[in-house]
Amino acid sequence: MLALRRGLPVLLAGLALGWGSAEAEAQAGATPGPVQVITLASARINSLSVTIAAGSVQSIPSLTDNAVNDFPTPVTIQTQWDVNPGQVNSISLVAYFTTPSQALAGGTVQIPSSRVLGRMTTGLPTTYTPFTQAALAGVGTAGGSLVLFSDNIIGTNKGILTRTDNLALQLNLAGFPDLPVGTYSGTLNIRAVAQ
Amino acid sequence: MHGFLTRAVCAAALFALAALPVAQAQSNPSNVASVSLTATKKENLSLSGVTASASLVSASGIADSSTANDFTPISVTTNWNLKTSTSVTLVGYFADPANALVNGANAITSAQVEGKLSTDPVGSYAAFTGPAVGTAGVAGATHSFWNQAVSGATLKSNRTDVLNLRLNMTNAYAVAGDYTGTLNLRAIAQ
Repeated sequence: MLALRRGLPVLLAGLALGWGSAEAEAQAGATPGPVQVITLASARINSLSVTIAAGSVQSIPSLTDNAVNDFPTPVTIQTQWDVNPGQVNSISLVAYFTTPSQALAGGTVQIPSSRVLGRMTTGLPTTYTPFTQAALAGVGTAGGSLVLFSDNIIGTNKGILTRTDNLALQLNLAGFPDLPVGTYSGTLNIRAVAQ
Repeated sequence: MHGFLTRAVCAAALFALAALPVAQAQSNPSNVASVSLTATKKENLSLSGVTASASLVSASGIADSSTANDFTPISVTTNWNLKTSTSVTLVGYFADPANALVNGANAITSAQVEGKLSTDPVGSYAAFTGPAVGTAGVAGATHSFWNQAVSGATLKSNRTDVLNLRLNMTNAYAVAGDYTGTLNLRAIAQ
């Protein structure tokens, strides 16, 4: 009750200022809407990091045209966070290529991200899915991304937590023009984002 | 009076707070982890769609002292995807020049077997007496059906050919019997 009494003058002052502002604009002849108070808050995190525990170098030694080519081993990704439910709604993991039209670049022919497929059986793309999704919360690139998981932060997964997932990758060359001889290389970026 | 005022102010304050929009949380990204991807397309040179067997067209068998000993045509598709080669050659050869086709102790030599592309004139028939081409073929028992220069866009291509074979028994005769042999086909990039 004491706190309420101390806060009342502040609330009154704020309300008075808001009303005063609305009245001033009305006198100027405009037709103002109600005063909007927008509170901007950043998702507060203590820590959020992504580590490639295994498979950071993926290689297909001999591509086969017009077929699905598996990268031999999965990428093991560890996502660690330390957040609280009241400050963060969710943690998402996004994998993306910087330039969707050139996910793997060769000499004269490029392999687009739509031909790279990812599967995370413990996440969202439980079947092989192309990297053609939009960016998420500013992370990723339009048409070159794949959201791997999105966890709502609740009481059970707050605090310091590490999640480990395996991302399997494929190149789908079915229906793609035969590739010229050469080496095709690219970088898959993986990033977590708190919202 | 004082209680009424307090309640009124509290009600007004709650009303104002309820009208506030929900706070808009901004995203907060982590570090970027990277995975290096590499895929290699290797050079390739292969034959496909090869007709498995051929026999004389004539039901009356081998005609002695004649070139009228045509085999049924052989189809072959050559596929290649190369990087630095300058030519592709399709060669046919017999393992043993003296015994291209054999019938027990009797033999027809590779010099008596001739081949050409079906698109070439009859006069183009040539015997299997040439040298090996690179590592493909047997000396004295080889015939090159075609040689094609490759560069740029044609480093990756394919072609399908029909091969004509015949026995040239001019000034020769064959002992009666069934003669069989194996013609090897191979493409080589140089």
